[in-house]
Amino acid sequence: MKPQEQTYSKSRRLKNQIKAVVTNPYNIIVLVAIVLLVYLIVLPLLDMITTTFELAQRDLRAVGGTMDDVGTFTLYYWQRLLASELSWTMLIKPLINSLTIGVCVSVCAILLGSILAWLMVRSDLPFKKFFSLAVIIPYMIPSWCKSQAWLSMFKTSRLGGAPGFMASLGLDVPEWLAYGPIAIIIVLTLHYYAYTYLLVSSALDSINSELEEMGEIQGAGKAMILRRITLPLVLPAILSAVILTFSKAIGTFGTINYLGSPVQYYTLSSQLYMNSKSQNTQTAFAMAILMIIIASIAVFINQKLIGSRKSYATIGGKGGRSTLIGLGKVGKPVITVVLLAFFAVGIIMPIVILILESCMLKEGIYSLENFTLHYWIGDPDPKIMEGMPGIFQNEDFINSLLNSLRLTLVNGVFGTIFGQLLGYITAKGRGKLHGKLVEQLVFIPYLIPSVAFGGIYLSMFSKPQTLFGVTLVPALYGTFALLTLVSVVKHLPFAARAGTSNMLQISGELEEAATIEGAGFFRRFVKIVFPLSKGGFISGFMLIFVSIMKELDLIILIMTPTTSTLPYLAFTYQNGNSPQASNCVAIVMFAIVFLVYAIANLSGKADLAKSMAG
Amino acid sequence: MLKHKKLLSLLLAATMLFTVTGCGGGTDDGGAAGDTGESGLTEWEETANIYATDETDEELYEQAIAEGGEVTLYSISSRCGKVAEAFTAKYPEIECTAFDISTNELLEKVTREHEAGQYVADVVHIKDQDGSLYNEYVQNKIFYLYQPADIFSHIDPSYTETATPLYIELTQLFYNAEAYPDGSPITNIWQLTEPQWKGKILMQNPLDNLSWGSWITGFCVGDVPDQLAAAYEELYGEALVLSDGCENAGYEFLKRLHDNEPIYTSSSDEIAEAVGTPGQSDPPVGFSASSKLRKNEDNGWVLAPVNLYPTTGIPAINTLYVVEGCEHPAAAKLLIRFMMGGIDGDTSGYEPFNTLGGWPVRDDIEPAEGSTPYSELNVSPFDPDEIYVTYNTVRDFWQMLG
Repeated sequence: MKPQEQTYSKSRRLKNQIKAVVTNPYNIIVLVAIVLLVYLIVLPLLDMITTTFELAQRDLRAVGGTMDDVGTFTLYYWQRLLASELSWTMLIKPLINSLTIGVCVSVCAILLGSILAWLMVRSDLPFKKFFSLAVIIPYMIPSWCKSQAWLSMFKTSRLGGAPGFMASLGLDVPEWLAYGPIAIIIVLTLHYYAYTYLLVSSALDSINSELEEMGEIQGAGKAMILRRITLPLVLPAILSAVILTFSKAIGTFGTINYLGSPVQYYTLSSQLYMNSKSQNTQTAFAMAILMIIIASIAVFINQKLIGSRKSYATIGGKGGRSTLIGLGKVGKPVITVVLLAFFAVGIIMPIVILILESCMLKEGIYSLENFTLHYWIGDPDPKIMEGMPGIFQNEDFINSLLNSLRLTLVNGVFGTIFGQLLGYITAKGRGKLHGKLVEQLVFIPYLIPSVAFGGIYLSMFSKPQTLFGVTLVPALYGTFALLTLVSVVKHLPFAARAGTSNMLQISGELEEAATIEGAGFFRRFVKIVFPLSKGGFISGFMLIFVSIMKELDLIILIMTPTTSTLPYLAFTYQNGNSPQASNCVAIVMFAIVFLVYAIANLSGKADLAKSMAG
Repeated sequence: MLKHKKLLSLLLAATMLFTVTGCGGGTDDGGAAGDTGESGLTEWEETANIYATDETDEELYEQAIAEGGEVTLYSISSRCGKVAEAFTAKYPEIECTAFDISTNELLEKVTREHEAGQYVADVVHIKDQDGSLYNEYVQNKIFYLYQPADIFSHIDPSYTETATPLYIELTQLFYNAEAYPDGSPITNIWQLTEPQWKGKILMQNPLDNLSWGSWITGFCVGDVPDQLAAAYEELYGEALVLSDGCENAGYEFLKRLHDNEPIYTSSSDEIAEAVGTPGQSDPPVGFSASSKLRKNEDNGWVLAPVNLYPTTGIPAINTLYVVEGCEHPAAAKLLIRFMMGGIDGDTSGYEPFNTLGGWPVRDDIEPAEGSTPYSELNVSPFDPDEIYVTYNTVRDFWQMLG
């Protein structure tokens, strides 16, 4: 009797359990997301991993063997990288440098970004509208621009050519400042603090200042409130920013190449790119895999840190109110002046230089006779730029502009929506296997070198994808869909990070309340989660929009020769000895990004304030 | 709750398995050369008639129109846009699309497209600097050499064994002619290893890309090490003593060059600017692509090339290929003929490349005005096989130096 009863209840329980799992839209979404991520991220990664174990034809000359050995299993690449006489110069030393740069940039950028975010959101700083627009500009200027600005400022005679600005004033610039790790850390910090700023400021925005006031009533000082109330509440955003900054800093290449090579300072990423450019694909992939492992460890630590806390929800059922905190009579003007100086040097100057350079008929001669608008609006002149007209008269430019706009807007929107959905999964599944899995998966594309990622996608989607003879995905080669797919996936980490820190703040109670009222999953998402996370949506959109606008390596492999974009055009102009025209294009790119940000910022803020008041 | 999770993970695993098997089929061997027919040629080779070299421009033009009147060029040169314009001007029925892309991306893109059967590029313009294009692409029949006899009768056969050459560039040493009005402060290559040039030599990192890697390899192969040893003795009156780990005078030269702390920059342009900017009191010298010389006048530089003794290194030869499987083989042939300067006296396809610092391979095309005749330059012979075999060894040698 007994055992039978048990089987009966067991089977019934199982039936109910299956029903509960299958009918819950959340589970379906998680399932679809994981399947898609595996397909779009893990497969390319596996492709990379297998490549590092397959002998390439070009290495037959080193290993010996015949053409039959090409593609066979080998440990040559890993052994060479990890345990050979080359390991020290190829791996260990660059790795130490990478970690140094990664840690220092993270610390500096987080500090700078958090302080700025706090000042903009919580303090009674004057000129906030202006500041909050200006603060994000450094991120919109390509980092190579800033590296060049750094060099033209601090260049020493070591590099030859025209003297740097400081040197021309007779100031002796020490070489440790002009090139190498210090210079790299400063330039990268000025670039990447934007991640922290965007994520932390939207987190701060959603904190109800009653929480802080309660602390004040209890007699806590300003420092105490900051440390015990505000900081823990924005910690998820800060940790997200740490991961983005750290991985980006160990993965970046341009700045390190500009400022590191004069003193032979290399990181793992510069070794990776050198190998990649020298067609040592396998070694480059192996290095990329090592970097992915390092970043995964960082994500893992992050999960541990967040996982040990109960809840961070700051958007609860009650209305929010935001009271600004005074900076004090002395503090306010001092901070304002410091910020103004910071923006003048760090933001206005590079842009002014860029604009000036686009108006110089001949490079580097700053005189009135040399001033021209030819590169902007000029008619074709066979003597200048090999007879090409100014960009606004150039068909190629108009085409590229339209392509870029289409690409960035479509991808920005898609990427953000997916990012927020994934963020929702990560946040709701926090501490659970599927949440952790999604969080880790989403992160991988970040560190796969763009050229490799683009190449693998090109191969994957050039042919129809079939499952049991049914065509699931048609051949996408040369379509806009493929461009969109590759850009969205590659930039998912931004969007998903923004989504995660955003969703972590939304209290589960709100959704539970709606469930009780009978609202289904989709209704809850559209009516509750989405409106509350609008601010985070906009941050996520900006992050992804800006980086896709600047993307070149990734899409150059995917695009067909006729569908060029603005970065490609800038690249060809730079190649073709027309840096001025290249600057013009860079300025247009910057202007678009800035415009979109300004609109998003102003309208987004307004909406957010309204929803808080309601 | 635990049961839920187990169930969920089971479902997941099953789905993943399906996904993986599903796309397994998508990644196997791509559009490699098909089966060979009775003639021993592949289907494409036959229909494209790729081995025929006696077609005239007119015949090719007609065939090209019949093919669809299109041709696509992937090129490492920004000047490819001008070539495309000139081509369409001469052959209005054919639309020529040029795509300017750097070496690494070009190879990645064209290889992947070829594997996937997406034949976009018809013609590829690149440099075979380390012999890998011949050994890995031509030998494996991914790229084809098209060498029409009428044009090739004007080209030294030593250039045409493994490639269809377009023009020659060099990696030359440059100095600042304003600071050294009496001529170059360096003439013998070993002077670069002297202490007064420590930290005053600009170059690109040989580990950074194929061209510089091939260039340093050139010093270690063939007769070059012996020439270097002899030049050392001529300069200092004593025999060169090789350090530990240096197989020959070539490696020794590289070691001493490296010990002199050359300064790496990220582009040849930067080097040309750094060396050539007037008004410097103690300017550095620097190795740079010879074609930067064409920017001298435009930018007001005072750059002057050095004809280093005993050698300025191996040349960088720009080469052209037809891509296997391409849909416009006749147009591809016509474009190659056009770029090489044609045979009817109209050299408008070659003109964009005929500048200072670039030397034509054809004996019936004059180099740009003001060029040093190529025969007067100390250039090492380029043997793609030797460079190809030794490249990795020399690259690792440089990596070991630090």
